[in-house]
Amino acid sequence: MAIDVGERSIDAFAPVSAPAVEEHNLDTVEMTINMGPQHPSTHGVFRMVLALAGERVQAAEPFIGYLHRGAEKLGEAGDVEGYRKAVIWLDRTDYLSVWPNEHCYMMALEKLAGITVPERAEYLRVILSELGRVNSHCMFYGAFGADAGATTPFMYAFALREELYTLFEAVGGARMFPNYFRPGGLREDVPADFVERVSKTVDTAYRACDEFEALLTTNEIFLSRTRGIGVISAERAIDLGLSGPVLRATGIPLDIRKVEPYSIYDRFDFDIPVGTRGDCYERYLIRLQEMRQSLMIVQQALRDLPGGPIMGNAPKAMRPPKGDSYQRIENARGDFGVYLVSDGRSAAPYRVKYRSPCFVNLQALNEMVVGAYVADAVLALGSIDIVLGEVDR
Amino acid sequence: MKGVIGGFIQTVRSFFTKPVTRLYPYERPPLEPRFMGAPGLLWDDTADEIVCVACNICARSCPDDCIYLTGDKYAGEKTTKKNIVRDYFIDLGRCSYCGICVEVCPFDANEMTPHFELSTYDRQQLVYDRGRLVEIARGVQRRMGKPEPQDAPGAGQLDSTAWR
Amino acid sequence: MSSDALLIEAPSWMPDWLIAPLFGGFSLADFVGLFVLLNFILFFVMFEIWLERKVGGHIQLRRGPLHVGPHGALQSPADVLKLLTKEDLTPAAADKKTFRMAPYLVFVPVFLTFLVIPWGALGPIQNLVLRPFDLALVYLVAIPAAQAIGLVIAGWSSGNKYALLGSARFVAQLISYELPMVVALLGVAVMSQSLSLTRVVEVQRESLWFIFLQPIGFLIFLIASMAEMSRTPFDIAIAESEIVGGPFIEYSGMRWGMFFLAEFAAVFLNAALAVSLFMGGGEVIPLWDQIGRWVPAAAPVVDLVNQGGVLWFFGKTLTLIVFIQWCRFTLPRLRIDQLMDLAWKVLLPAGFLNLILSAIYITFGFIPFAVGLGLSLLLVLFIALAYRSRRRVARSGIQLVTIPQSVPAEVATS
Repeated sequence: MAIDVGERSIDAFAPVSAPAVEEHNLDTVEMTINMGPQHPSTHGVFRMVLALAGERVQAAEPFIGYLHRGAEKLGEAGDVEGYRKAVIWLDRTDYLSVWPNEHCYMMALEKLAGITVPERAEYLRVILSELGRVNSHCMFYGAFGADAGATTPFMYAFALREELYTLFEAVGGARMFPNYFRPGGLREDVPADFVERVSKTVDTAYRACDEFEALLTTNEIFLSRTRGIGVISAERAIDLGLSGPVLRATGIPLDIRKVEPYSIYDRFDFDIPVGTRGDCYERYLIRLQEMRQSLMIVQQALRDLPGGPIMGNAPKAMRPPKGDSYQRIENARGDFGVYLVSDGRSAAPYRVKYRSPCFVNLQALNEMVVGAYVADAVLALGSIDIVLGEVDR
Repeated sequence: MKGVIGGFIQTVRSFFTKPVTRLYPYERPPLEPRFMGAPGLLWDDTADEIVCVACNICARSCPDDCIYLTGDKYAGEKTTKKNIVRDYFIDLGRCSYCGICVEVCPFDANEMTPHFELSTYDRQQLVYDRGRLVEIARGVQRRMGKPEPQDAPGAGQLDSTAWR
Repeated sequence: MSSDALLIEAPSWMPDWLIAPLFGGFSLADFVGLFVLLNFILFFVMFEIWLERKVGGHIQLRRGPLHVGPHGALQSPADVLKLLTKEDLTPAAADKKTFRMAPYLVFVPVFLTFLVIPWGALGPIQNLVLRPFDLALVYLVAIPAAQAIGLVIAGWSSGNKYALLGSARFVAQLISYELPMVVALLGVAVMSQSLSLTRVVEVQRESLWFIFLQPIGFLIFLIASMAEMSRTPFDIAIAESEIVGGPFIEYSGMRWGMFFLAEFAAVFLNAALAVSLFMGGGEVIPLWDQIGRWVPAAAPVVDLVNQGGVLWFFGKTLTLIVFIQWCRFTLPRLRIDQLMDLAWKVLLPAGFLNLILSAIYITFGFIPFAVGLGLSLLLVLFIALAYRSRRRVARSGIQLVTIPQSVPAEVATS
């Protein structure tokens, strides 16, 4: 019974090749273990079949598709309001940081239909997108700590996320899937106490970041678990097309917000954390630092938030002219893109495609995991920070 | 050892911090004014009839196709409707609570209610009919698309007790 | 069991009918004592589970059990009832006889070890112990070794690869950590010149608690016992987030309950042992008995306080239990090879160092021992600092890069 993984197949009964085994003429087989779709550490319904020689992984094969809901096909559905309907799928792809995805789709649609967005709406979109990024990185922190065996970071992370979700509920009406961005701006203006609430939440988040760091960042056990684990080199990262913190950990300072600034990101002063060695620990540090940078962006945006309308010149009936547009943003996980094709006549897009960073970043899993321990495989998977909604769409 | 000790200090500090747990169901969750629970149908109190005229726009705009409705010619004199809704079903098991049906309604006939405790033992019970939809929207004002009133309730003042 | 050479005599106030041998050489006093002890352990474990959930809850900014009984006090009995009424599943691929036998092999040694612990003074009784045993320290090492067999059997007979991985990790871990534990116990044995737990407690009351005389030994014992019980940070064998429970994965209902019970009873046991071996058993504060000797006027107070030795014993045990639980909620877990590195490369040499220091204490007296202790602590500090600066060189870090805006992405792979 063999599963083909490219050059190397996982054969359930293949003998283990190791010097000790040959020298002592031991009769051993590799163990095929299924870290199945239901598993505390696979961050969603992800399945990994590992071939183990003792504790070392000899081969790993990922299986995805357990959360495939046909989001791209459903985006084409509808004889009425198809473009508005497609937004809810953007919420549900990367469901941990919801706002950047909505932002990306809206920008693609605005590019296609030639809609302008007023200043206030741009600032609000940026504030919410960055808070979404903080939200997602909090979840990463909690889940990564739980993978490493510490259950407390998870609770701390969720305490902060609860504050953020209350804020999202106040602004968009729903905690996780607010469906709030519209082509041309926002569905409605933010509540009157928005600026104070966000400032308070930002202060809480800064304090929470310090608490997070105290628990794991300098912890010797955590360091020995994550340093030098799941290393990927810069050349390999570029070959595989990785993006996001995984890429930046290898030393390449590529952040779409800086390299191809979209929306009004070129007005904000923030830095990009970049690593050197490409291991799990640096990805963790980068994400924690990105949280702080995002909070800085939010504070700058709050300071400069103008008044004015929140909806641009979007037509009542959305029928963009025939053509296509591609918009790329820096998601919490990397380079998220929306490719939108319109045929000029129907009320729904002809094609929506989501370029998912997690799907591409998962290609690196095999390289990180082969030759490492099972425990390291779990941590490497956690450090790529996949969200299955985005991988499977 | 320093990092480990730092971790211990942090956990001791949080041991003496007030827990963030909200004791649901003894403490009701403080809902925001814009909270989008189940969509409900509004009832016109002055004319004592339902507002909805069965134009079907909400059903066509729904991304999940969870609304089904039928209408009748309006035979009453209380309002200037041409049609009035007869049956109206929303399958809350399919609904994504996105609020699009409320946004697109040209007659302000529905609104997202604070009703979120939807657990049932049978999936059929999640299909709400017209009567139930009116019931859950009792006391709810149409808010979507209207400017925020000056005395809008602040956070946590929206009453979520009525919609169990 | 009734060899006179090994047993200390029953206290004089016990009437004859109580200590007359009934079945198999055991007397009524034995049966009553066993019954009381067993029930006491079970109830204490229920309390301990509640405590762990509450402590863990508050550390994690939440509350722990709350609804069942006042502050969730009845949660443990409720859980026991739930486990008893659960369906008893045995996997189809499991080896049924050994699958059913494994929980008992893990659970019984823990309870056997409780027999020799001196619980401290209770009124007229000098030291409450069920079976005062002259070879108690050997007993302590030998009996829990049976747990390793039980865990291997549990893992193998489950017919589940995760269970197999877990039991392989378990056996490596348990065997590795027995050695530092033995060496730490040897240090205690040398310093108290006896293998009997009651004698160890007495020696501590006469001189100083061994936690001050053998700090290295105490730390080794604590760490090794946490690893033996497979508590975080050493719970790689159970590893919730990787192999979902290790050998316990296929057990449900009361069978799993027995493993769970054994783990918490082991926490209690090891805390009680650490208190007896290193923290003076029933003495309330270090040098308390000495105060009675130096200040004759205070002797009645000293004696009165000493009579409640059980209370002080439990206070100290609870402190250690809370510390062990605190560790669980604060630290991430070590990988199996790191765990074994710790046992063989750090704890075992430190244990031998401790043993040498104890020998110096016995042979040459206190001053050379103090000198030796100071030197060894300096050595430890020196090694730690040297290791730290070597690691700092290899430390990975991130830098914050400010990139000028709208620079086309020339991604050099340097």
